[in-house]
Amino acid sequence: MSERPTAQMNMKKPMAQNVVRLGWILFSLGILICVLGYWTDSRLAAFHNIVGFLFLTSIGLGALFLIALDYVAGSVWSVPMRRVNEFLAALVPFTALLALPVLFFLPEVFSWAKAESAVLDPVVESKRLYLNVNFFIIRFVVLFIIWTVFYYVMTGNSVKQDLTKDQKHTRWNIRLGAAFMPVFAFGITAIAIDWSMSLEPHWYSTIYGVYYFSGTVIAALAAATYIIIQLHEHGYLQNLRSDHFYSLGTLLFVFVNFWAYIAFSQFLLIWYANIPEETVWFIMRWKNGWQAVSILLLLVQFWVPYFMLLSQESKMNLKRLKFMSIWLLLAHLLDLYWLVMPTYNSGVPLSWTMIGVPSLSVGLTILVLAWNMKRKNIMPIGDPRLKRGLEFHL
Amino acid sequence: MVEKTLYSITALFNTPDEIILAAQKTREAGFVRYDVHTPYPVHGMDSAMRLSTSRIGLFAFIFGVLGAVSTILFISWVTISDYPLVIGGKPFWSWPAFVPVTFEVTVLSTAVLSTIAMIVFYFKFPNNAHPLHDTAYMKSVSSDKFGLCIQANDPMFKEAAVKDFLRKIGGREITPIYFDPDEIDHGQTLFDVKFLGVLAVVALTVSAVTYFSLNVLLKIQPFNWMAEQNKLKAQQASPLFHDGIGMRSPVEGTVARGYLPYPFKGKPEEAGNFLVNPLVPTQKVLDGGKSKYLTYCSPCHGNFARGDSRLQGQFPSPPTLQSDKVRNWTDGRIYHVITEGQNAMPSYAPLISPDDRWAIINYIRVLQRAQNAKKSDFK
Amino acid sequence: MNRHHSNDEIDWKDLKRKPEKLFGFSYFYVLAVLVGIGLLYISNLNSIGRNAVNPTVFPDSAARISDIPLQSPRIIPPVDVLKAGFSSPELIKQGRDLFKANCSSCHGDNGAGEGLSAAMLNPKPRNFHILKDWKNGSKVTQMYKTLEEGIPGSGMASYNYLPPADRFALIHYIRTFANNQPADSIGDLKALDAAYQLAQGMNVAGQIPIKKALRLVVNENIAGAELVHKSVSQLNGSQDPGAVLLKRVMVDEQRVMKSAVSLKDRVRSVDDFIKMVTADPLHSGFKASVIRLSPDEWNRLYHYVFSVVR
Repeated sequence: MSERPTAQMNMKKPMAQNVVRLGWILFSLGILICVLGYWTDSRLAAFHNIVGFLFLTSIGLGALFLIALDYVAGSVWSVPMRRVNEFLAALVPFTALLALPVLFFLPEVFSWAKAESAVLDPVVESKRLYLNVNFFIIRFVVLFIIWTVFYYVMTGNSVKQDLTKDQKHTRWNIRLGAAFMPVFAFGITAIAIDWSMSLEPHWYSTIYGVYYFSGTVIAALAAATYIIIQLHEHGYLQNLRSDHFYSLGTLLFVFVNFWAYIAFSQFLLIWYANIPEETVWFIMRWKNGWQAVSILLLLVQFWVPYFMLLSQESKMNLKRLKFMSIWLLLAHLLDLYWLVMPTYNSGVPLSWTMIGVPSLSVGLTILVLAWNMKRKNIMPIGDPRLKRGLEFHL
Repeated sequence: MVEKTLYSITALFNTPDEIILAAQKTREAGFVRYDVHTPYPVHGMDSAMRLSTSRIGLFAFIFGVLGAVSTILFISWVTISDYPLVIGGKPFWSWPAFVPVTFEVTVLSTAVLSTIAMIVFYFKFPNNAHPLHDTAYMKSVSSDKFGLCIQANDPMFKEAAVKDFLRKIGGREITPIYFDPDEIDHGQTLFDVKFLGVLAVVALTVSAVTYFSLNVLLKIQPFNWMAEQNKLKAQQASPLFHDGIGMRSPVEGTVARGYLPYPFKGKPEEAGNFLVNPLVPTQKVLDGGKSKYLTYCSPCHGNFARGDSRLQGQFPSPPTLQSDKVRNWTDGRIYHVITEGQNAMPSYAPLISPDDRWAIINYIRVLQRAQNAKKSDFK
Repeated sequence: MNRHHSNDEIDWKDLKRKPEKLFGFSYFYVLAVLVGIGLLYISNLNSIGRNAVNPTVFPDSAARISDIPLQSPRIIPPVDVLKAGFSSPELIKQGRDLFKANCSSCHGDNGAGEGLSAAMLNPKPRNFHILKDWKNGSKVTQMYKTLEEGIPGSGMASYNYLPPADRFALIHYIRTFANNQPADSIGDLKALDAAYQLAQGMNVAGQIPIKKALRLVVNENIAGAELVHKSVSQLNGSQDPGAVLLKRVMVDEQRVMKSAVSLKDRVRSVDDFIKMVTADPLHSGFKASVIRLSPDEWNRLYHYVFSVVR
């Protein structure tokens, strides 16, 4: 065990300048491409924008969920790494901003938002009580306000504890975490339904919210794992043991399986019932080139990570874990692309403007991280469970 | 008091880190016969003790593959050859439907068989005696302490030296463990009468419970709810429809899968001229025809086609099928009657498949032959 | 005991301090009670009540005979028309039983034409009480003709398998339903005797057990089955233009060949063949598209198929 005091090593330490610069470049490049995208083809750009919005929601909101989960479950092992999740959760308010442009193009993207379709389409008309523009925006705004409040209060408690070292902050956060769970469950289902499922207003799947949730946790965990390992290797998060990384890897592995389980459950029921209004969704994803994407998704999101993360050694091998984190982030991006884009048109739309979303996401994440690292300690040094967390042994 | 033999000397440690370090030091000191006991699996112990990879993983893999393959083969056999049923218009071999079952059986067989393998091969089941059982040491290491135990049959074992060594590496509560060799027998006990007796009792109990569950328990509420659903069954009335009849006719013009409209509707003579029996009356065809005849035709036409209804006045008796008229009809003409009905006889097309109708006709020919035998038949 | 205090499974002192922990020990029983209440509730639900009245099971009223006995052909002795043609109480009594067995399911027990199946018949069965518009008339000889030949175009079948004596008995019974029945002259009865050769007696075919009949039928058809089998294998190996054409227009070679074997005596020309096939192509193993063949192709098909099976 290290002789040096833990607290000293894990105080504030800003991000390396060249990484921040890279963040700015990617962010501006992403913004530029997205703006150009809206300039050239606003409908396509709006679809890309939805993918990007859902992707960053996955990371930010997923990180907030992991914080709440750690508190509620009373997990000790994750305490030293909690700050990374707190930094990532700072994406939540920015994500809401990212969704704003889409709101100006709602009728172009969502067929239910068109005024005239209501007259023609009795199915959409019957869902009008939920699927209408005003309620859509109200849901969006209310959810993000609630989540942002949760973010500020929970991370605020955590930061205050650095100075006071008072247990009461932990107790408060446990209560907040418990309160957050149902809000999160309903909210993420609403986001999944509103921003992705309602693209096909006729089609519905009751498991859709859980499906998006499974991808969300993969993305949040993968982002956190990658950043934790990077920080650890560059001298930020010291004193972490292989047990910590092993646990992260295990969680990733679990949620990869969970995703496959949910995805297959959704497929099996629809395949079995064989009702045209349900199967159409999969048929759209099995035609005009989407078949290749579907198979690729299955490989990328499940089979490859399953075997790559199966063995005990692979979860302790930081290089492989880092690689798989990036892999799974891309897999989730592909998953969202697969969910959203078939509505755009029947083929697989490949366009240079699709680089805008990942570029903007990575850039924004780096900037948010750098900004937080300047203001906050890299470990919750005031948390009374930190010592036990660092000594965590499987 | 029986003479006791020394089994080992044990020491307790407080944290997983301590025990890993202790195990490492014990190994480095050259001890071979020692073991570590912890309340839960401690990662890193294998390398600290320099244990080779456990073979239980290989067992698990074999059992898993076995479970998966046998399940897939079994389901395939059931759905393709043993009891093929068209479900939802899907092919017999519809793999997505097999995934959940295959997954479950794989996990189940892996878990159960690996555990059994572990108990049998590593714990030498059914031998359940061990010197460490029922000691304070065992009580501690199965609660919150980590224990190290150096056995007396280690080549380097000297009681005083081992005690010293354990104290030096930080062990607490260093205790020698004694056992009675008469009581603890390490021999094979697989054929022990007591063990076999217990097995027999277990087998009987499980059989009884299984019988009870499958034949009694499943037939009482609420397990029989699935069978007694509140739904419309055949021949039931329903106030939902204006005529009160629960069974509905298909929409006009509906063509069932595999069935084509009958081309000789209302043309009995043409049917008699143009329809040819496509089935050669082999033993198999006639057996099938007989079973269908007895099911569908004999209630009215009688077992021997004499028009002597088995229903005896509860339902109209039709004329005999042994008449010159019917015997001189072609197979196609009879087929037409079965398909379309005639007089009081309704159409049997929805109930009897075309090939079954032809088989029935072949059987009717046998009945006619039996009751209008040729002279040569008496030889 | 005291030293290993914390190792005990139940810490009684702690339990006294925190009685809510008792729940952990008692919830099994709470669960059992809840399940019991649930069972009681559902067993009293109306919607899943048991049968109020037990279903009645009718025993199959017919004695089950598994097979018929061997019986040689025989001749029923001739009937004396001049005697049987006139009513007598014995004949009427005999006729009543025969009527119940053979006629009442259509004509009704009292002969009013309201039997069980009367509702489903068109034209309706005859009402024997009214002597009007009888097809053949209600004289004994006229009714005998009806029983012998049936009435084509109606539900009335021929009953010529009944022995003539039984038929006379039936007729006399039926004639009791109405008054003022027309009488037969001796000449009428003699003409009937001559027309149906009643003086010769009636040949009744012999009967053999169904098992034997089944075996006979199977054996007689072995040759046909083999011919079908041979024809199919010949077709499969053949490069004859007729065979190639057939393979193009058929779906089931077994059916094609079986039809051809059954038809080989009835079909005498290409036109017959075309008529037979196009009446219901799928039934005889052809694709529906077979109706689009040219006359030339039909010719080739006909000659090929029947050259194989003949």
